[in-house]
Amino acid sequence: MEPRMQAGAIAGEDELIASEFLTFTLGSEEYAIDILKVQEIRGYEPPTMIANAPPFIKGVINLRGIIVPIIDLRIKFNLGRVEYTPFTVVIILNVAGRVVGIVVDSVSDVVSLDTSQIRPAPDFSGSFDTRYILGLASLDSRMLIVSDIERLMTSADMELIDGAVA
Amino acid sequence: MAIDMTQFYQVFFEESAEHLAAMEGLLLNLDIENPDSEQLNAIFRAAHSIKGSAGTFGFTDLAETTHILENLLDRIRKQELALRPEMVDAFLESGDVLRNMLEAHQGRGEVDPASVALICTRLRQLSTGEVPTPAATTAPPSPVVAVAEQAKPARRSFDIQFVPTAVSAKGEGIANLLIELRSLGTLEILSQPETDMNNVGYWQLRLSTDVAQEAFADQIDFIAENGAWRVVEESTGDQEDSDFGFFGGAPGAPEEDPGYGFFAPLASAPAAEAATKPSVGPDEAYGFFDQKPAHELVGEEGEGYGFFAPLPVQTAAPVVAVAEEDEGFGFFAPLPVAQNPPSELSPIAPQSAGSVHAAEKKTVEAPARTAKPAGPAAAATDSSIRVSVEKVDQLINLVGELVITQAMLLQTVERMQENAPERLVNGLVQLERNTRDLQESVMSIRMMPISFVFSRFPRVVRDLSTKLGKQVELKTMGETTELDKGLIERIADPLTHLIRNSLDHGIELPEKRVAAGKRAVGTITLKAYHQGGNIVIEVGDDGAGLPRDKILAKARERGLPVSDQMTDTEVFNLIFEAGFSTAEQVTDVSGRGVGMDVVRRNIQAMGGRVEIESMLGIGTRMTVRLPLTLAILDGMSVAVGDQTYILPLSYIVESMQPEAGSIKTLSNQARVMQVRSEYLPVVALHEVFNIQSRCADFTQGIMVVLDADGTKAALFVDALLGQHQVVIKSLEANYRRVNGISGATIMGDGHVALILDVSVIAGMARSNMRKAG
Repeated sequence: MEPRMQAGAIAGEDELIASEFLTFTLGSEEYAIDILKVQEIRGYEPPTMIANAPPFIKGVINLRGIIVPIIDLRIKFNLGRVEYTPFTVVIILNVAGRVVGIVVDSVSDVVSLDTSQIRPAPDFSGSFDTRYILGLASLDSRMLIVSDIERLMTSADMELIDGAVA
Repeated sequence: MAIDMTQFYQVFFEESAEHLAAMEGLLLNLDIENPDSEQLNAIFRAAHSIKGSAGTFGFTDLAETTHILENLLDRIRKQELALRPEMVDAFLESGDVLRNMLEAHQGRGEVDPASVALICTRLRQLSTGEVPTPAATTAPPSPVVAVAEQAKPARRSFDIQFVPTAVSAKGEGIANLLIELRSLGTLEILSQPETDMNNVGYWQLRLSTDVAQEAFADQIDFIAENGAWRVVEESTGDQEDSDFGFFGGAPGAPEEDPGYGFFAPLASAPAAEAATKPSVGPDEAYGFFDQKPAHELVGEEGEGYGFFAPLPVQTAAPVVAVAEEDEGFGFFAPLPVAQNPPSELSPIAPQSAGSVHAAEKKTVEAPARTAKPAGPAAAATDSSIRVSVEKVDQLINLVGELVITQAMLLQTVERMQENAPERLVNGLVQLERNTRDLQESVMSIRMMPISFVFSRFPRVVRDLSTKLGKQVELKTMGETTELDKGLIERIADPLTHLIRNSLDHGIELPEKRVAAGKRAVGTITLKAYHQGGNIVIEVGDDGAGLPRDKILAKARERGLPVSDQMTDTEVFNLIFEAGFSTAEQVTDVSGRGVGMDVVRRNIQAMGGRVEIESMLGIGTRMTVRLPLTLAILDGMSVAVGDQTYILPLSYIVESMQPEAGSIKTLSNQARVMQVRSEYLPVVALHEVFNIQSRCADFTQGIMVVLDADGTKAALFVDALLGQHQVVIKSLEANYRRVNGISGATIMGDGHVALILDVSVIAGMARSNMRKAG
């Protein structure tokens, strides 16, 4: 899934790019999301299964009295080995007024990125739709996939919200 | 100068509505032959409170109508007039008119001025009809009139105080008023605002005239801020006593209640308001009076308090003291004049009133005495506070969290077993008890007796039966049954509809009843009780019953899929279909076919259900089942595989371990289980939810027989775990709707358990059966 660099227009999305990002890994890929969307990071605990939910929706957990759905992005995007170890991390996101947890392999760090560091993502077909990618950023020798987590989580793909539009 | 009065309006509306409801309830219970004086007093107090607050808030129409009502009530209370049935009717009607007015002020509906005038005239007639000479009686119906008569020979002097509205002060209003007053007699301006204040401020005038105050009071009322005026009649000649005299009432609304009679509405209105509106905390109230100079306050919401400040102490003291005794509240406490202990009233009152008039003096003392017993009663009724529902809900949520945390701690300790320090264990046990008590108390805040709803029905039945020419008796049982406030509000309309329906369609006309060998008087029974985690409300009548044939015929006419083989329950449930009515003629009561479907929808929206039982010629009974609260559910936890689910207890009929061979298949697809004489469709939860069951076959698990809105089904689960009270949490807040799941809850160990939606699951059983043919 090595993206070929292409000139793709992402005009008008500059304002969506915040300055601080939380980076996490899914398999061998590194993703960056707006840190302001992150509520907290916690360890994985087995959630309560929801019947007939897609496999990437692990279930719901009790987050201090709130019922929070847990999504395993590794299953959703077919990345890495799906294992639940004591080090498996759940990032609790606060997107679109909802609280959602995502399971990732690990959380790396918080980085500052400015617009000039983020290049437009090329068009490619993959499980991670380019619609949810704000761009690619290179930091040292790492490539970060800067994703629009809010758009991803509210999309119909995630089956999180009733009647969400694609 | 601008305190936003609108923030208090809502409280006023709520309060007045409550007073009206209380009044109506009392009126309906009143024994006309031998009225209980306590009840009459209570009715009077309700009317008086409405008048007081209405006056304060400037709803003059309300205040005036209530005033007339109050006059009549007062005379009955004092046994000057005998209570007659037509009076009760008039009272009830005026209650309706007042309610309309209230609603109109809230922007809903309109008031028909004709009906207001009509009821006022009627009340006046009832009030004055039998009085020979008002002036001759010891307690004249209208002291103002009486005084006017007594004072007639002398030229009268009025002390007029008011604060004009900004608008009238800017215009010609003040000038016109002064010209007007001068035309009536000699006018002396005692005090007026500084010239640079543009006439806005405190005015004090002395008018010496031989006309009654009604002649000019209207003009003052027009110019002045809401209620921020008063006219005090001074006895002529004696200047010393003029400070204390007769405080006249509002125009056309003379005070004649002995408890309040001697001060203007200004005094009584805030008094009543303060006493009846606890939510306007004393703190707030003191706050704005303390911070502002008194003269700035005059004319505002607190005009009463501000008003007294600039007056000589002699004037204010009796008023304040009487007010204090009367309602027993501390509103006036911050004013220095109020420091006079009530005991000082006696020396002051006779002394200053002495030269005014003997009759007046008598009355001055009388209110102080008669008001005293009213004090504790008022205090008792007012020992509640108004809190917004959100605050209570927040509290309930927090306590819910606390309970969960507590349970988690307890479980952790239990896991430690022997290693847990004894004191920790003991402390946690104590904590568990305390949290449970706390939860119960907090939940009970939202609980209200169902009498709040029931109390409106005697009226409905009374009015409707008269209209329909039927004789109906309403019996209520279990009024003290408590349920959630949210439910109380929402159940009122559906219940009203059911009762109207029973009255219109159920109960027959007296002749018909007698012909059928029944008592001419029909009975409608309203009954509320707890059953399991539900509250059950029954509306029963001994009327004609539901005509099965007619309903079926009507259903066919409307093209509904019906057959003669349908059970009675299924047939009767047809009346809940939209637009379904078997009434031969449409009355204004019912028959249009709208309603029953709304009733069912409303009740279902509350998580409840309606059932109908009926026997032709014997009667009908509608049973409404509602959960106790919207937030808590009594549930049975069941295990399927490694998952735990909660089944709402109210849907569970029974559970059993199936025997081998008791489960049969239909067309090799759908399974049914024979429970006694019935074949119930079987739903295996692990199949529905695609989970691995621990049971190899049905005989190892448990069948739970569910009854959802008349649809029965047998649900197969691995095991029953236990019964819990669970707090319902929304799954949809952060996720979406899941078929077969109505919500989630947090178990004692902190894990989430899903609550099953029994109606959907029973529906699944049904559709399985259909597929199987």
